[in-house]
Amino acid sequence: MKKGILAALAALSLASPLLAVTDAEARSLLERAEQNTSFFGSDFTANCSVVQEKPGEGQSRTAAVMHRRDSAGKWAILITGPSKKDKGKGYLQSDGTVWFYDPSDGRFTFTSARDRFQNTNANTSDFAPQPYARSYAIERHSEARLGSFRCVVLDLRATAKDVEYPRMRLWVTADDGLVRKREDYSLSGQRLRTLAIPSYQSVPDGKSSRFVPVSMVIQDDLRGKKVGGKMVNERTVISLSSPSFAALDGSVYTKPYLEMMSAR
Amino acid sequence: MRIPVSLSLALRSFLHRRREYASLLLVCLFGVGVSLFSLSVSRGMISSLADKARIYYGGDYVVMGGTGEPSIDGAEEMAGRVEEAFRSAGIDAKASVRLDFDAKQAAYYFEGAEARQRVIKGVDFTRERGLLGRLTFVDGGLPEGDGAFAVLSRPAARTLGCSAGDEITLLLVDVSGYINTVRLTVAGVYRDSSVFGMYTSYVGRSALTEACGRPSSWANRVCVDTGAEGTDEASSSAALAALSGAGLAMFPPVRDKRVFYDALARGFPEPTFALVPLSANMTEVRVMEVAMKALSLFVISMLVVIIVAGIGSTWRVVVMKRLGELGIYRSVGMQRRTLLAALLWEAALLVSAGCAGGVALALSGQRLIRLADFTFIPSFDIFLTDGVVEPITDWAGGAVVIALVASATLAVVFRSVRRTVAMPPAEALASGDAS
Repeated sequence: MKKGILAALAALSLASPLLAVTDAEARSLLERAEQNTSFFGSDFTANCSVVQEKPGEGQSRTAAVMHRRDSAGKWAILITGPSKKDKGKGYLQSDGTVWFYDPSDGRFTFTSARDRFQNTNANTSDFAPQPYARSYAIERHSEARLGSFRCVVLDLRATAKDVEYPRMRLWVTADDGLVRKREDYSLSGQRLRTLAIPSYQSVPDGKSSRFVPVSMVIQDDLRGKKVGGKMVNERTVISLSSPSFAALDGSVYTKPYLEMMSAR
Repeated sequence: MRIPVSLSLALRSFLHRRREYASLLLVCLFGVGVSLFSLSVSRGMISSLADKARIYYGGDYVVMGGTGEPSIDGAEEMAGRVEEAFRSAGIDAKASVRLDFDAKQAAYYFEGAEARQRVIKGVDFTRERGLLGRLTFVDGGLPEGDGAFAVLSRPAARTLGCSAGDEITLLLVDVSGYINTVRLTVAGVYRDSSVFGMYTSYVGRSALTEACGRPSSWANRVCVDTGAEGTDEASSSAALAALSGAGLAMFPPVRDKRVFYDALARGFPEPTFALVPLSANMTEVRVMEVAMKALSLFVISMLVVIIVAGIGSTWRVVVMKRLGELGIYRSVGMQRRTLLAALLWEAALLVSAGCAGGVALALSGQRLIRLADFTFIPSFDIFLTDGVVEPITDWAGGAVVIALVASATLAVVFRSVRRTVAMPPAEALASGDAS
């Protein structure tokens, strides 16, 4: 009886119209979603924990510190452990170029935002602001429920060339404009990745506060392994802790800084 | 027909002394055998390399060009013009359109597994059946047409864990810089390596062109298969002239494709094309070919020297031991030239027997080496056909080696016995008694 009532309630909630979103509202929501990934007007620092699970191969962990100055289009990531082999490595975006630093040979090599971060399922660009409104147009929008969230689903198609994925689907909560889930697609419409952001944390930024993901779960829909006859995809979980919008010295976003911090 | 006395004498002596001559016979046999064997093996390896090159480059010639990068609009029509031009130059040719895709940013996926390639060739499987049919398939075979099919190498198929009939995903970056994917059916899996020891995959050209974001009429190569005929300089020049006559702006003949690549990179005011023969594509491989031939020549030279020196020096000792016998022959009236001829005939019989044995040894070696799988040797695949060394008997080369061994040995023997034969009979008898 109880189960029947619950099922009926669920069916009702699904059947009832969630939100009626116009094209303009969808566009506005997309712009808000982009703004929520960007921290203009301040520096952003956070500790990152990146855990990759490869089916049949166990887990690999990377700890890093991330600094961002979105107003200048700069960010820096320094690997702090736990592996001694990776400690001291770093990434730096400056003047539109992404560099990878390896302390073992003391060299900066050119890399791309499209490249995988430390061979995980995360891309380097996942740590940077997302150009949802700048570089994409909304092909269609709809409403859907994602767990307890009432979301607007935005199907995006790239309008700029320098984007990671030509097609994307976003689940954005209408009330706060936060991206809850994202699916990345190839041009032909094959799903390549699925990102889920289960929760956000509120971080003070002067007199206001900003929302920063607590964690991001990235599933690679192409890579994985069959385990026990069932396909299990590779996953990477990025957790952000100790986020801060405190101002930083500009030298943080330079090569000498990365070299200096790597040497410690 | 009467057998000359000298020959009859030589034959009798040879048979009588066969045990003494056994070691010399073996030296000659192994020397000639190994020489002929190495000739056939190197010829077979080079032929395998050339065959792989023809498959990899799509034939004996490639017509490519554009204004700044390899780009051919209306590629099928271009292929027709090229084929017609070759035929007008008296060369029977089949032209087909290809798309050579730089796959550094591409990968295949199947059930979570990933396999990367250096180059993916977009081909028309029907038109190139003559060439691609020479691949050794371990699963499936060649499909028809140029649709969404892939022919993979065995290492790539193993990495992916796929087999013929499976559907794989090709992920690539298209001409606009966007990530695109295309589903391909694996039609066949082959075991041969490509000319550079890598493993290329072949995909239906129209499927690949579309995935790259290019028009279906676009390609970057027209490949010409002449069946390995018409590849000499005169034919190349005739073909080039015919292509110019067909209204194409043609680049001067090239011996190295990089010369044209550099010019193309600098840009042409109008679409300009080069007729690139297979040899111009293989300047790196030519060095290997020359090295192999040089090594083979060195080995053969050393063996010939060993045979000649061995037989020559041993023969002198043999003749010295037979001074008494030679003295008897002279004393009963045998002429010097008859005796000399007998000794030379004896040496000739030895060398002939050794060479005949060497030929038999080489032919046996060729049969045996075909049984061995050499795929375990890294990067050796480029010289293999279906995983084995496929020797090609070089009869002309063998005849030269045998002629060299025979003539050099007989010359050395002649030099060493000439003085001995000229010795007065009494002296010879006395020396023979003393020894």
